Amino acid sequence: MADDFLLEFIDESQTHLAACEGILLGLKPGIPVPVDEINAAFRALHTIKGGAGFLEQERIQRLAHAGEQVMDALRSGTLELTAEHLDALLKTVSDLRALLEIAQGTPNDGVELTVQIAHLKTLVSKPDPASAIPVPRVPLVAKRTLEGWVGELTSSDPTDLAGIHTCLAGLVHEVGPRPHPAAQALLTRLTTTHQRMAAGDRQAFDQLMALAGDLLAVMASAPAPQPVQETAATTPGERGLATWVGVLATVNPSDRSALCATADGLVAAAERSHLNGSGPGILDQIRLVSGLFRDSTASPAQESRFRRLLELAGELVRCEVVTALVPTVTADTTASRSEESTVGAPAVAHEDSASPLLDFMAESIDLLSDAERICLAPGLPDKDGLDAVFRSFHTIKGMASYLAQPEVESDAHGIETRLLPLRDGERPITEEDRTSILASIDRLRTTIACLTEAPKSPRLGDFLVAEGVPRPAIEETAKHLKPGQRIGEALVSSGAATPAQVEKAVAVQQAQQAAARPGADGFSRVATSKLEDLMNLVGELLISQSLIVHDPDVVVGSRLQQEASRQSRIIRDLQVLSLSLRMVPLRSTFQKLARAVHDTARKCSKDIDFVVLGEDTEVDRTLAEAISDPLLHMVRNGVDHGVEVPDLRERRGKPRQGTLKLAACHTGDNVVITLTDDGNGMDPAKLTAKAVEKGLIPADAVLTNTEAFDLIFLPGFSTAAAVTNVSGRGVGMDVVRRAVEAAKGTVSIDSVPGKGSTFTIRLPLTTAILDAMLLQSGDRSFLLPVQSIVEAVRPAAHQTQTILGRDRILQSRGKSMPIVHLGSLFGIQESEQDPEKSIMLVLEDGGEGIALQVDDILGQQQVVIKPLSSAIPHHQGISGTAILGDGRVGLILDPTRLAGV
Amino acid sequence: MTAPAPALLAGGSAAGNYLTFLLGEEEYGIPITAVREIIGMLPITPVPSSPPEMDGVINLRGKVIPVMSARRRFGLPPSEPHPHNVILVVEGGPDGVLGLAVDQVKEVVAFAAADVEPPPANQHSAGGIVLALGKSQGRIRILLDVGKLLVA
Repeated sequence: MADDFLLEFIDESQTHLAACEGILLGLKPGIPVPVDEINAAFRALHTIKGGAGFLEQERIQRLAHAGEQVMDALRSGTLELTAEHLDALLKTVSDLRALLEIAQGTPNDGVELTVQIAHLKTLVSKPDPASAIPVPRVPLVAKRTLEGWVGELTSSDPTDLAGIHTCLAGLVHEVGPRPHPAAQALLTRLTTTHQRMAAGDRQAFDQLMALAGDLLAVMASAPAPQPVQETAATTPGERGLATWVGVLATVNPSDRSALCATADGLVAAAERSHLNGSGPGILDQIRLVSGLFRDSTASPAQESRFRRLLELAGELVRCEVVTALVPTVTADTTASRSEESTVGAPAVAHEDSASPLLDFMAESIDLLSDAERICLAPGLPDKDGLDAVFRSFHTIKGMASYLAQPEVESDAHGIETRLLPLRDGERPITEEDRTSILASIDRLRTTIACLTEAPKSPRLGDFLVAEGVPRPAIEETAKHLKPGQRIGEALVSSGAATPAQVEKAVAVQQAQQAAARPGADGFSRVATSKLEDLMNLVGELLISQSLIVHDPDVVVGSRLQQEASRQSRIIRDLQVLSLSLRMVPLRSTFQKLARAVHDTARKCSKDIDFVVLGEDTEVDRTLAEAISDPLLHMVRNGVDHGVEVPDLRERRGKPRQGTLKLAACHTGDNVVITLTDDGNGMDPAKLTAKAVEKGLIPADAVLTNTEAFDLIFLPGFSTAAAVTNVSGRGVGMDVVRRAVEAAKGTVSIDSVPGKGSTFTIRLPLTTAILDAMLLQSGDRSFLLPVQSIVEAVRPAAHQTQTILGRDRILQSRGKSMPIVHLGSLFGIQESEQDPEKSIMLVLEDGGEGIALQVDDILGQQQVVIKPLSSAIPHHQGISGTAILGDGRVGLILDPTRLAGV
Repeated sequence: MTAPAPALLAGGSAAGNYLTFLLGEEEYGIPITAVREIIGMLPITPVPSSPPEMDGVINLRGKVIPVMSARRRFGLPPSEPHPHNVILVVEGGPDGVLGLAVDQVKEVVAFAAADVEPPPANQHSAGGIVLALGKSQGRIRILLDVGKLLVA
């Protein structure tokens, strides 16, 4: 169960990371960051952080948090994007990916987490050079030894308490006698964490690491100790806050009163310390979460809420550290700034409310289910039950108000108002009350389920206006609407609208809401193995169906026969659909390439515009994986050798920025992927000369341009170092070709020297389906890919001839080729030996062809390829299997490997 | 017949529940936990150049799985096809499952630790595939190690 969650989290996080990476790659240093994009990237990391927190993947959580902080600074404009930031963020994405792999169980020790987090923190807390007052930094020597201590701490054994203590002592010493308040707070926390370790808290060590990393970041950017009075001014609040957080961490989550008291203390301390930045927003959330504790009885969500509270408290302390670091210029500006941020914070909080809203939705649905359960219990709810139901609605109302969801808020408020007299015992609850409460629960549930991000779902009134109901009447009615009453009903009863108008408006509104609801046309993740199973079963269904259709007992024209053939069509559609489920867009494959272009271009000091077209083109999932590596290779080559350095480009009269264009599209049953650069290009004459020099082709060979370009796919060609200077291509292109051909595709090149090159990869849409010819040899049947067959001939006596009495050759269209007798090759005794009674299939295999002698051709069919078990060592001329029309297994022949034996 | 106590299963003892099947006169057993399903004989497609003990491949509800002839695996002479012939789908092999063609399925027998003894050392045991001999009701069953079926 837990594993399922983890795998799902890993899978989703990888998608988020890919999205995040895509956005990052679209950013350019020095150019203002598009708010939407950075918000999306922020949300991606935020979601990962949340999930990691829930699954106790602490390292992932911490790194994601550090990355998020940088994004936050970027989007709020406190940080201007530099290449350094971009690199650090991209590295964060890679590191997170590595951590996910570790979480999945893949060993990977290349993640220097503490250093990376510290680096990210430095980026955030680094004051903007333009506005920062130059402050003396911590002396370099001290910093280095500080890092030394942190390093030693990181590498020390968690059980070696004495050793860790020494490291802490070292840290305290290096921080100095009069530390910066922020550093002091961290040191205090380090010490208490160490004490918790001594008390046997295993998780404390990881926290210790995190704190040490924080400390490093603070010290790296901390101004030198300020005059005493300022320290005195900030210390009390700070100490109070850190202490409260410490208390909170030790509170027993099930002791609600203690928890609430601590949370209150925390909030009060935070208010005293006048936080800026995201502080007020966090504080609001803490109030909200601690409010939930007050309201709800013990529920399964309790544990995660408590963790959320701790997390928020941690963020608050970090925020406080940042507050302490911001240089105070004058009292006036501070005051106005903090005021600004108080006003601005809720707006920011709403902007990234993706997860709070989802949290809210989930939480509210839980609360509603609780309330529903109470109401449905045998007998009418007693006072405690009513209390609980009332609290549920009250909580929902509170959260809705915080999240600016007025519809939910007013609905919940309406129910609350009606519950009030019942709860206070003013009148006894009746059966009608129960029914009406249950109806309200249903209504509220629908409303909450329909909540989406902005744009908000349009209100019914707008649709009523469209239906011809006067707006003033609606507004007037809305004002006097009784709680729980619906506006449509009120309008009808007051005569302002007809029931038909209301009905129509409601229908339109619901249709729009359904269309706007996320997931209405969304995606669901399904395990690949399930898709495979589905395909297998549909295939079986098709076979069993065709056995029925062709059963001799089924009378042609009978109802059974008609029904059965109708069913066949349905099953065929089902098969097409199930095959399409395997298709994935090329987007994620292409995105990895974008990253490669970015990295390689930076390494080679080239300026490249990477243009991607048709990334929505869908291909078989296995195909997308198969071509990922060859494409990566080609893209790197394109950057490394294809596109020239900016100076050279300028001399050649090209724009300094090179262009690398990757495009994908469907043509018939193929996917065509082209990679075009506007760089060096290749010279066929030079390629030919090179190949002659290497002895790969005869000296007098005359090659067409296409043949000359194809030379770079020769294995021997690529290893020559000089090739790079000649062609700008050819590193491992033989590997590329082999991989593409393994995926049943082709790759070709076109190039103009000095102008650039185009590589074209042509692939079948799917590797899963094969157009095959069914052959017979003796009592066995085999499948042969149709595209490999050049012609099929029934040879006349003069066309075949033996050599040395054994080997036979076929002469056809002026060419002679060896005959491969399938029956003899596979030891099938009953197969036909006489060539004149057999069929010869001419197969093209590179240059030399072969003639495959079989007894007969049974027909052509499309089959779904299934691998042949490696548990059976088999003839190399067999590439796989497929289920035949009669349910038996057919073997698929590999034409290229039949001859070599 | 009661199931063996867990303690008996510990320490590598061959005790446990076995599905038994016949090859000619001999009765064999494989751990019931290794048997995925029992299917009637299906048309088997022979695979060229495969080892002699492999009968070929079958279509198991859309999945292609290899089938091994138990008789040929143990060097027994082939027998005439019979309606009782079945394929045991057992767990093992690189693809997870493997078909084992046998003459006939008999029953499920539980062997306590006292009922099993190691195979006689002087017997050639087809690559260590005989895990133990199980005795009950005065009969001897040859208990097999499924993991060694594919390793010749």
